[in-house]
This record gives sequence, structure tokens and C-alpha cells, in this order.
Amino acid sequence: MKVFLAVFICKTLYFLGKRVGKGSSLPGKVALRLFPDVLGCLSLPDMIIAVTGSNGKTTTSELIVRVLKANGRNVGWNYEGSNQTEGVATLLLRIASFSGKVKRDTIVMVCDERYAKWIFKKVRPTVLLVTNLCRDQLTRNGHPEFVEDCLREAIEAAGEGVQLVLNADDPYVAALAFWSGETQDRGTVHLSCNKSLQTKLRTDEPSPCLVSWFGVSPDNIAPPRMGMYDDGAFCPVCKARMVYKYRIAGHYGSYSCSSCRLKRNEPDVEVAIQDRGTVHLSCNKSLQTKLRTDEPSPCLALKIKQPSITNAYNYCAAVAVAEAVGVSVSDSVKALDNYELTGGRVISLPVGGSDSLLLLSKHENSFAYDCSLSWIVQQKKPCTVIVLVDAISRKYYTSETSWLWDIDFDLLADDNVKCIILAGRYVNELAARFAMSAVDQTKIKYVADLSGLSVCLDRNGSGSIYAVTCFSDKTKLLKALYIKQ
Amino acid sequence: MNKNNTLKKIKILYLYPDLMNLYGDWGNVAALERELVYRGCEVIIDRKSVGDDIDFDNSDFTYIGSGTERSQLACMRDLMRYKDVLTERINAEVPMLATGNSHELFGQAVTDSGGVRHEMMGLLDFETVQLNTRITEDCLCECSFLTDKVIGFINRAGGEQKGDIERPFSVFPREGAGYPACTEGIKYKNQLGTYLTGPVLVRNPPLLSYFADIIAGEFVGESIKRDDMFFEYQQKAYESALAVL
Ligand SMILES: [Zn+2]
Repeated sequence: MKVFLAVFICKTLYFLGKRVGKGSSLPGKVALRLFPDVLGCLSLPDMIIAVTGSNGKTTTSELIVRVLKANGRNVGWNYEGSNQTEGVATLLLRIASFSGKVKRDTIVMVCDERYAKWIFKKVRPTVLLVTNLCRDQLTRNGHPEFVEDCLREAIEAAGEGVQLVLNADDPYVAALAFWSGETQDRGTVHLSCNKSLQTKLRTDEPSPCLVSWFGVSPDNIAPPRMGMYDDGAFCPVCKARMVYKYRIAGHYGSYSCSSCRLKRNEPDVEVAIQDRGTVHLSCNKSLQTKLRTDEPSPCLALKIKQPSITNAYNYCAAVAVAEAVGVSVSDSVKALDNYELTGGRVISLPVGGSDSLLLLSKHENSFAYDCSLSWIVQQKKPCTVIVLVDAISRKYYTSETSWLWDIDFDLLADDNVKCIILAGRYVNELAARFAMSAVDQTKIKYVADLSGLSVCLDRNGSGSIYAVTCFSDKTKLLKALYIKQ
Repeated sequence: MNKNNTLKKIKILYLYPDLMNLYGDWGNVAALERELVYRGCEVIIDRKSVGDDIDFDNSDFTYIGSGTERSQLACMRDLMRYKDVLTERINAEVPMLATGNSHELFGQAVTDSGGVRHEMMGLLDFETVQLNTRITEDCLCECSFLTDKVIGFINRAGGEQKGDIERPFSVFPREGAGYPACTEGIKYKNQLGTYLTGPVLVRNPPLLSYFADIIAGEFVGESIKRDDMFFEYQQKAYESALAVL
């Protein structure tokens, strides 16, 4: 009866929400308020994939869903609700039968990195992907090591037997496997999730959590410049200095600690960026043997619509997850080749030159900003850059702007950058930050009131227009430029 | 006021810039450098980190920023070598700013979220207990040594500081914030410590002037950068933040 009511309420509220154009997590919230333990009463599918981490959760889960659907799986995905418990509840109850059977063979749930530990207490994942850990929303998240601690609790909550898919290039993510684990040959880590399991591991009967690693090859990637801070300088486990063989971006790269055993594991699935738009995926030999696949070549080419280092990780992570649930790398590649992301981070702008773009980069996330700014100057085209900060978050209020000082705006001190427009409510904070940068101050224009943005752009803009802002300010930007959505 | 054509040399000692730097803390040193250059000083920034030989004797100002809880302990392990000389410098009224959890280093101890007690430098009679929760909040502060208000953001581990010492900041969180009105920070001679994180000297022109006054005294040289717009933007940003907090 409880299950029936919860499912009924959730489906009804969801249907009504759709009618008024709202896809929210309210239905799940209401159902959980009435029946807090209802998720435990559902009959869940065998395959539950959780996706968490700082950046790329939504994009990567879209890619995972794409691959699984193309390979005949019936997938449920919380793409429209929140990524906290209510969002997951909305998804599961909405697609459940009135008797509580969730009518999908696979669930992909995007989980907030801080709340994953609570979600997993209600819904245990079978596969857990951690995309990366970066400075992100520090006003809410504290700092990456705090999030890492939360994720360690999440892994414990997921329990033994969960398969981890981890970013080999990110030392903070690798630390997750390190804390309670034992590094073995070939980068396989047998995680001991609790004390009793630890005892088991000493015996010959381990029931370990298997880890598969994904990463990006340094081939064809120019060494990144050092930004305003280096989160790879010290080992997240023991705080000794870290040594890097190479870097991909920020603290991603091939690292080893000068004191403890933390080091990059050889990835099971690796992506190499080739000429523009193509990436090569390879999986290491032992993995192929394990899968007993007859892949003609260990290296598979894949065309990416929006090539970037960030997307290289997203694609690689998706393929690694798909592999973990039994889809071969070659089948994943077929499904992803030339795929156009719907929730893309790059949107073309019908202003200025034909290749003007809006690069969505989360506020409070210097890593995302640095990636966007690097990408802009790498285009080596005369351009105008708009940086807009009006509402720092769409979810909560803050006027905290320290994160602007973590962004490497010196990147824009480039001859191709002809004009920079700083805009939005925080224009003075931006202006003060830019006054401390290497950027030629005469190139900068200031627009506090967004109604003046279009005129300012007409007067001063030249070349391609690249706008850098957050989802929270996307609508305002498009409106200010008279672009219909 | 002395008008002076010769440059006054100022050395800023910037401690652990690569370890204690979570929230754009470098902005504090950059802003102070700007302000001192504006006043006609020649500024040298001496960056020192884990394992380096640190020369405290010839510095006019010391800055240290915020770190993760693990970084804070690593910082303590390294800085302990200089406990005596650092105490001596602070007693000699050399100005110093410690933002975020770095000011906890000057207390007696930090007890981490696992319950382990770590001895700190013991300059002042307080100690910190950290929890595995997080306090993050925009706030407006009244300041015991300035007439102007100070704005900023607190980002710290949950928990509390025990000890009956004078607190320089009375914190007024925004309405509805999950953080009570309280006092915080440490002020001893010219040393200031606060849970306010990030570039607090950028966000608070009065605090920037306060330190520049102590460091440069009444010295005003032939200024080379009178047209620096940084100060104008900084002031405007401060005023708009005051209006909303
Ligand atoms: Zn280490």
C-alpha cells in the first residue's frame, strides 16, 4: 500500500509538473516526506550506475545513456530532476509499477558528490563513476579534500562489490582508492570497504571492489601553463611533494608521490586526442583478455563534435563505465561516433563572426574557466571575449568572489584577444581582478547593466565573439544579446 | 608627512603560497604590493614553502593563507621549526595576516575531526576543535580596530574555538544563514587572524589601508602609479557588497 501510494503520488505530481512545464524533484521530495523508507521497498534492476564528481557528471551520463540505449538497454536516467536524493526518488518512483517494480534494466543516476553518501544508503549502486575532483562551488563544498572525504563515506555506503570507475589522471580521485585499498599489479586496486572486508582481504578469499581506471594520453597535448594555483603540488594523502612526468590540465597528469605509494595507475581505458575532432580509444591488453573480446585493433577512432580535453575525459569515462557493464569498447565507439551532445557546454551565438560561441563554464569553478579561456586562445583567431558574472549560483545566494582570483585571466593577455567585455552585477569585482592581470587594460570595457551589453558589443567587438559564463547567467546573456532561445 | 624621492624598501614574506592557497589568497599579497607601490615603496615578495629556509628577520609583513585540514597540519609540521623566531617577530610588532584556518596555527592545539589533538605554536591561549562538517557563509563584520565594517566569506570546518581571548571581529551573518552571530578571529599586537577566507585585503579597502599604514608608516614617496584603477574598482565592489550584506 505504501509503495502504491508513493508511486501514485510521484507519478501524479510528475504529470502535473510536466503540464506546467516543470521537471523538478518535487514529486520525489513529497513521496519521501510521506514515506521516508519507500526506496528500500522498490524492486530495483540489477544494474545501477552512479555518476559523481566535480565536473562532467551530466555530459558523461548523457554519453553513458547513449551507449547503453544503442546497445539495447532499457535505461532510466535522472536527467531532469536534481542530483540529490529527491531527484533519484523522483526518477525511480516515476518509472516504477504500482507494485514497486522499477521497469528498466539499467539505472543511471547522477549524484551530487556531497550527497552521494546519503543517496547510496537508500539506493546502492553496482557501478560508481567518479569523474574528477576540482575546486568547485567552494561556498557550498568547502574544498576538494572535504568532498573526497564525503566520497569515501559514499563508497562505504555503496558497500562491497561495487565496481569503481575512477579517473587515473586525478590524484584526488586516485586517493579514494588509496585510502582503504591495496595497490596491486596493473593498477587494480582491491578496495576494502570496511573492517570485516579488510580481514577477508588478508585471506585467499577476497570479495573486493574492482576498480577500473580511465585516463587521457599526453600525446598531442601541449603542456598546460601553470595557473594561479597548483592542486597537484602536494600529495592529497600524505602532503609530501608530488612529482609529475607530464600534465594534461591542472592537477591531471602522470603523478607519483615523493613519499607514499600514491601514483597514477595505468588506465584500463585510455583516450588519445588525434587531429582535430578525432580521439583514439584504447584499452589495455589484460582488460581485453579479461573481456575475451576479439577486437581487431586495440585502438578505436571516434569523432567528437565538441573536441576538448574535458570532453576527452567525458567520453573516456563513459566508455569505461559501459565496459564495466558489459558493452565492448568497440560497441561504445560505434554509438558515440559523431554523436551530438544535447546538453552541450558550447552553444553557437548568432553574433559577430560565424564561429561565435557561448562557452558555459561554471562560476565558482576556476578549472572550468581556465579550460574555456585556454581553448579560446588556442583557436588563434582575432576575437572578443565577454566574461559575465551576474548571479553566482542559481541554487543559492552568495556574493563570494574569491574564486575569480583562482582563474588564470592572464591567458587573455594575447594579441588575438582584441577586446574584453566584463559584465554583470559583479563587474567591479571582475574589474579589480583584471586590474591585477597581465591583460592590457585599454582593451577592457565594463558593462554593469546588461541592457547595455549589445550596444557595447556592437561598438567594440571584433572577430569571433566568445562569451564565458555560467548556466546561472546563460539566460540573461542570451536575452541581453537579443538571442531567442 | 615626509615627501621622499628615495624608495622605501619593503619585504613581504609570503608563507606557503603553494600549500595554503585555497581561495585566491594570493590576492592579499598582490593588493598590498599595489598599495605600497602606490605609496612609493619598493616591494620585494619573498615566497617560502615546505622545506625552505625562511628568513623572518628582514621582513616587514608576513602573510599566510587558508588550506585544507590536511594541508594545515603539513604546514604546522614545517613551521614548527620557526616557532621561537616567529613568536619573537610577532612580539616585536611586525605586522602579520593569517586568513582562514592558518590562524589556528597560532593557538595551543587543533583537534581534528577524527578526535586527534595536534599541538600548534601556542602563541595565544586558544585551541580549535574541528568537526567533519563545513561552515560556509557570507558575512558582515564589525571590527574592533577599524571604524569601517569588514565584509567577506567564512569557509571553515565546523566546530569551535575554546579560549578566553579578545576577538577582533563581530560577525553578522546574512538573514537566514546557518551560522550564528558571533565573534571570531585573533588580534595580538599587529598580528591579525581571521576565518574570513580569500582575498580579504582586496574586498576590504579599509583593512588594506590599515596594514599599509603600519608597514609604510607615514612614508609617502614620489608615487609612480597614481592612476591605478584597481583602487577605484576595489572601492566600488566593497560598497556594493556592503549594500547587500
Ligand atoms: Zn603521498
